[in-house]
Amino acid sequence: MAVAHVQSEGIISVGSVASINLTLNADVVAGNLLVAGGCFENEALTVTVSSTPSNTWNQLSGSPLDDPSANLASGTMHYAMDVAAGSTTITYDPSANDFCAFAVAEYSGCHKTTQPNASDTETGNSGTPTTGNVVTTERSVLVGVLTRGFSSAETISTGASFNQRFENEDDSNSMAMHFEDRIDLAPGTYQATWTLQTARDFVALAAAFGEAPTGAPPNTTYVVRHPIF
Amino acid sequence: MPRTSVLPRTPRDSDDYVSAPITVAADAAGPGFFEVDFDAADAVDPLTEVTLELQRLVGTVWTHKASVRMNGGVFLDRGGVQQTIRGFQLTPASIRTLRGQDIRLVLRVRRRQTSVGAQYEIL
Repeated sequence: MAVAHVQSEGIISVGSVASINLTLNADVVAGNLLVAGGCFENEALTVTVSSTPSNTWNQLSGSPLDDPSANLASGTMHYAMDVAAGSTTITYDPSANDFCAFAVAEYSGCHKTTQPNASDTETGNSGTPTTGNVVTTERSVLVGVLTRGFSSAETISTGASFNQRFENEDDSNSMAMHFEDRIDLAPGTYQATWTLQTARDFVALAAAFGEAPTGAPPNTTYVVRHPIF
Repeated sequence: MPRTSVLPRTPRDSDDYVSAPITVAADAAGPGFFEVDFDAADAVDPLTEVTLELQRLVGTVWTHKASVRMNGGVFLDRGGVQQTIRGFQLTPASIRTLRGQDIRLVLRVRRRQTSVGAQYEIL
């Protein structure tokens, strides 16, 4: 069963807030995968993602990830496998008031018990933020989440071959972030990439979420060639 | 600047809320800003928790679309300058899904509150 994008949406805070909540436009389908990418400013904080109906949210290894400078941006990625059906509200809750933003995407056709297949995170200062290699061993959807240091309103361009699912470029009273994906990729080595208007400190996270097994392999006939004595 | 101040009054205590209906224009492009305007006295009240919620009408039921929770006492800007606006913003893509729909803003407080008002702007 091929991995497919179902829906995605995002929200940003105006000012420093305790938490923000978003209800996805369409009811979520039972068993699908939800991926939440987000960011906040105060690097001393942590963040909790939860949802109604309740799902088990896992934080990507290495998340939250701070940018190279002090207190400019932290990036996060969380995911929930085999989610419950219905109207779903996701809560992004920093451990203290902060500027924040997050986006959520729903995918079908993904593993329900073991994720991600591979991931990588990166920080730096560049006009072309790029994660390290994400080396996948099965067909996957590759999700990339980017946030950058405070820089007012500058463009963030989607990486080549990626689909933009959400972006906020104006962080004058919130946080700038970008959420993108590549769907149904064959096993291989990939990176999440973006282009910024100006080189900035950045935090980039990428994770490949694997495709669900397609069932028993097709019947195979093995021909055994016997040596002739 | 926000186009309209939509709440007729301020919630008075933890059991109170006020709401105001909005119809999203058929050609609304977004983004949509939904904000609470605090005065200085509100902003320094550490006992106040304010929730601003956007609901949409699905059939006959008001359902949650987006919300933000704000704690009193810590409404400070990056530079330490007090800010008075808090809320959330929906992107143009989200606003397009609400075109022509009935929505409403609901403002709740957990402690006694005297002078907050909500406002919105959908471009």
